[in-house]
Amino acid sequence: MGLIVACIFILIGILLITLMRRLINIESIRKIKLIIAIYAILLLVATIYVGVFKPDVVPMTKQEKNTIVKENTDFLERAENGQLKGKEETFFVKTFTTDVPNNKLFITSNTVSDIGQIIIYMNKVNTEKRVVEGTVYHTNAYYLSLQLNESQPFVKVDGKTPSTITIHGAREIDKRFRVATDTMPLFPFNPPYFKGYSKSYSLILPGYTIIDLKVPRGVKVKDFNKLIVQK
Amino acid sequence: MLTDDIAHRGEVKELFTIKVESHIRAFFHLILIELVFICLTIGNGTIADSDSVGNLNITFIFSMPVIAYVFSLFWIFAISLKMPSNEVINTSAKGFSVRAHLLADFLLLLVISLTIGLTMLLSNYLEIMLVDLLKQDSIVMGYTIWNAPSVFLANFLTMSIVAFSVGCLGYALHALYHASLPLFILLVAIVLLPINYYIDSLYGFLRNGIFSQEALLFNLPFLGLSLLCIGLVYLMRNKQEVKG
Repeated sequence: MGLIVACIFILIGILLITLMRRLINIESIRKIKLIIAIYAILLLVATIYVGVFKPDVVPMTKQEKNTIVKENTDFLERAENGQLKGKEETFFVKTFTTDVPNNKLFITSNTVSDIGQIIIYMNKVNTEKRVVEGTVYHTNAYYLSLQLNESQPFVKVDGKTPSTITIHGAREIDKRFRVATDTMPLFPFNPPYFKGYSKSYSLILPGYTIIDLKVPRGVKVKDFNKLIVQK
Repeated sequence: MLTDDIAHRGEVKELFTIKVESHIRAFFHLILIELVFICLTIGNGTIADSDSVGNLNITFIFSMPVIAYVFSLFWIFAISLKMPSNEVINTSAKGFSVRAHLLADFLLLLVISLTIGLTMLLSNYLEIMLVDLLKQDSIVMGYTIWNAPSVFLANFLTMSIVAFSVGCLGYALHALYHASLPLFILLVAIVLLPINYYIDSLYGFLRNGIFSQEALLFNLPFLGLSLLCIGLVYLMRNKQEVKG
């Protein structure tokens, strides 16, 4: 099945390239205007499609909302107190930046990070490891900021920012993965979350979003990247 | 005075129309960029049978739309570099004042920037639609124009303003290069040296600004940069006109 779909994509690619080669040679302004108009209509149709066929906000009663907000507050409190220490897993971190005066660490990852206490092992040429602890106070699909518990000279190692770090810390609750975000990035890339697992709950509130995702059967929790929301 | 103003406005409008016609191909290229990246986003994913949910499992990489946007920034930069010396415009739009040319150029850059902002955002929906039609019931939606219009607006403004400032920068660099090469080299060196020194901080500012909700604070430096470029070009062109 995978091979068939791959072949279909390759065929679509070849068709598109052929089409583009023809389109690029277009000289008539009228034809270009027509293509622009068609594209605009296509975008409009897609926007309507997303709005009509993919409504996201789950209608909820005020009571339900209050319950969820309370649950989330408790959850965050427990996270802040370091009570959510779960199974430790390594996942890949793409980049990270630091805010030295405020003792914060900013990380981008190809994964959704967990809310809670995490430990960072910093590797410098695979020889040096330092352990720092802090609390995640801001996270979303590919961004995380960590408030360190105390001022630590982790930012520079021998005057240079380390090139790699590994984060340990993943959590699983009843085969569900909770994503709580307090913001969404100001870019076009605020997720649509694509993945082969289903959303069991989603709530968009002013200021933050809570999404619970069911872990698909057969997927091991240790396979963190498979569970993670991408895009 | 009033008649002068009206005449000038008419002049800018006419010139703007000519310039839009001349750059219509640029809009078409933007569509091509978006289509290519939509295909790459879909095609770059891992295509495999899902052993867990029974549906087709496509893993998407999130960075593709970011690359598409960065690509479009390079594209607007290239357009703005070419814009003042575009041969088509020079031949078909002769006889207009320098001020009218400047206004029309910046107006065109603004329109292109707004187009980038809007189409980049909406092309995501096109991508979602295509994936949804292919995959069926496997997308968990995030913020969209429907459920969070304020986020959409903030995204749109940020993307457009950043694109506009990049366009203005290209335009100003071109004007500066033609006005005085030594001054151009000096200014580029003055700008590049601190950028090189503070690259970490700058990167941090960009990243933190992009992902924070402080849209206004993030956009202000870019608006400032745009105004600086517009002012710089206006002064240079004005001086050239007086000399001429």
